Formats: sequence, structure tokens, C-alpha cells
Amino acid sequence: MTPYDYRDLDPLIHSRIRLSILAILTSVEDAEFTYLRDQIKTTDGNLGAHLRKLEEAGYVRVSKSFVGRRPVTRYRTTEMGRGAFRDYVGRLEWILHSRPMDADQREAG
Amino acid sequence: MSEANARQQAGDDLAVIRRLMEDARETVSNNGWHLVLWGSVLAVAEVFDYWAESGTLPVSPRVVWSTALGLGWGISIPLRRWSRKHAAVDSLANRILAAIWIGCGLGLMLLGFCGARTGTLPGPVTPGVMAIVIGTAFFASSSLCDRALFRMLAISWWALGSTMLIWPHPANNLVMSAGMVLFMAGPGFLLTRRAGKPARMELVA
Repeated sequence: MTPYDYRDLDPLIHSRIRLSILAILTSVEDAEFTYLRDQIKTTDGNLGAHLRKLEEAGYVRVSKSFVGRRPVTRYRTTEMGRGAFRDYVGRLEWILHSRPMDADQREAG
Repeated sequence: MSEANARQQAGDDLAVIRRLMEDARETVSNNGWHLVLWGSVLAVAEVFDYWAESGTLPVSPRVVWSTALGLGWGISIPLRRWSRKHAAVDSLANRILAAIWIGCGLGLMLLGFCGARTGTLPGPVTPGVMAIVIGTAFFASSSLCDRALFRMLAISWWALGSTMLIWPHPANNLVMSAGMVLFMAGPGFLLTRRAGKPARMELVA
């Protein structure tokens, strides 16, 4: 595995949809399902499947309630999810800014 | 994956993350209705206060302000509850923003009532002081959302306040009323329109 290998990244976050979900949820306290769907521009089914994966991994937490007669599903990141997202972004930044010498050093180490 | 491809991919991913996070943070700007409400209520109150002070209206300015503030808070508190319940996102920035404006409102009330009651804040000076406090609230809010618009509004309020303090005049109530429409209710209405704007991002699975 090289330092530029994407297999080094958290496979759970390494999907544009799941990465986007975490990017949004780490910027807010919580967000409605419909807000996430509109921001990410995906379908209900697709978003639901990705959110389930993140929920099963303990990266997001779901809460369901009613506003009037309308059911509302809200999501927020867990501490584990925020940590995983921070690590992922840190790793991307390292890939982007590292020089070949860094790579050699890392491989040697 | 080659080094160049990996760098390209990382750069693209980071750009997407940055844009999504910025968009999510911008969502906190969805507080336009409070600016519309308070801008309108205070604009009318300033005109009535001017009439009351000049004797055109046979009521005490205190009655004018008590009515205006009672009406403002009476609508503002349920509006805030409704907004929080129906907000698509709840962010820490949104709460800080609310705290800034609630603090600004309470501070202005204390300045107005205590200053006017004791006479430490003479009538013609009050609009200038209030304009500067409002400008400060806009400036503090600009670090959370709509930086350019809110900073422009802060500068406008500070300029207006400074002018009114340099030239204190009973007619400053009317100037303040125009300021409430131009620099509070109007921009608030623009924000409510902008809040419904669809997201720009297009992502693939």
C-alpha cells in the first residue's frame, strides 16, 4: 500500500454520498432527512440506505418525531462519527499536500 | 491509484466537503422573518414616537414603546419556537445568532426605558445610540452568516448612528424609522426569499 492509496481511507466514509452526509452533519447540530436529500441531490431510497450504513457503524444517530401531523426524521453525528470524519479529512489533506519525500519516509518507517 | 490521481481525487473530495460545509453553515442565515418583524414594528414605533414627542399624537411615548415592544416580543417568541421546530437544520451558529439578537433586543429595551426614565439618555440622542447597538449586532452576526450583507448593514447602522449622534434632533426618530425599513426589514425580506433557494450541489453516488 502506498501513501497515496485510497484503500488507506475509512471505507465507510469513502463514498461521495456518505462523505457528503458527514460533511453536512458535522457543520450543524442536527439536520432533517429532507434537508440532507435536497443538499446532496439524491433519492430518498439511496440516501436512506447510506444513512443506515452510517447509523449501523455508530457514526450518526437518528431521532424521529412529529411536527403537527408530519413525521420528521433528524440525524446528528456521534462523537465517533466526528472523529472518523476528522481523520478522513486529515488523511485527504495529507495526500494532497505530501511530497514524494514524505511518501518515501512513510514507507521506510 | 497513481500519485497524481490520488492527489486529484483528494483535492476534488476536499472541495466537495468544503462546499457542503459552507452551504450547511449558510443555512443559519434563515432568520429573515425576525428582521422583517422587528424592522417593521420599530419603524412604525419610531414614527408614532415622533408624533407623541411633538404633541401630534395625544399619548405618552412610553405607551407607544410598551405597545410596540409587547407586540414585537409577543410575535417574536412564538415565531422563534416555530422556526426552531420547522428548521431543516439546527446549528450551534443558529443559537449563537439568536442569542446575539435577543441580547441586542433586551439591551435596547434597557437603554430605552432606563435611559429615558432617568433622563441619562436624552430623547434626541436615543436613536443614535440604538443605531450603533444594532450595527454591532449585525457585525457580530456577520461572522456567522451572510458576511458581506451583514457587514454592509453594520457599517450602514454605524454611519447612521454616528450621524444622529453628531446632529441630535427630534426628527431623528424619522431617520431611524427609515433606517429600520432600509437596513432591517428590507434585508430581512431578502433573506427570507434567499432561504428557499435550492442547493447548488450536484453529487453522484
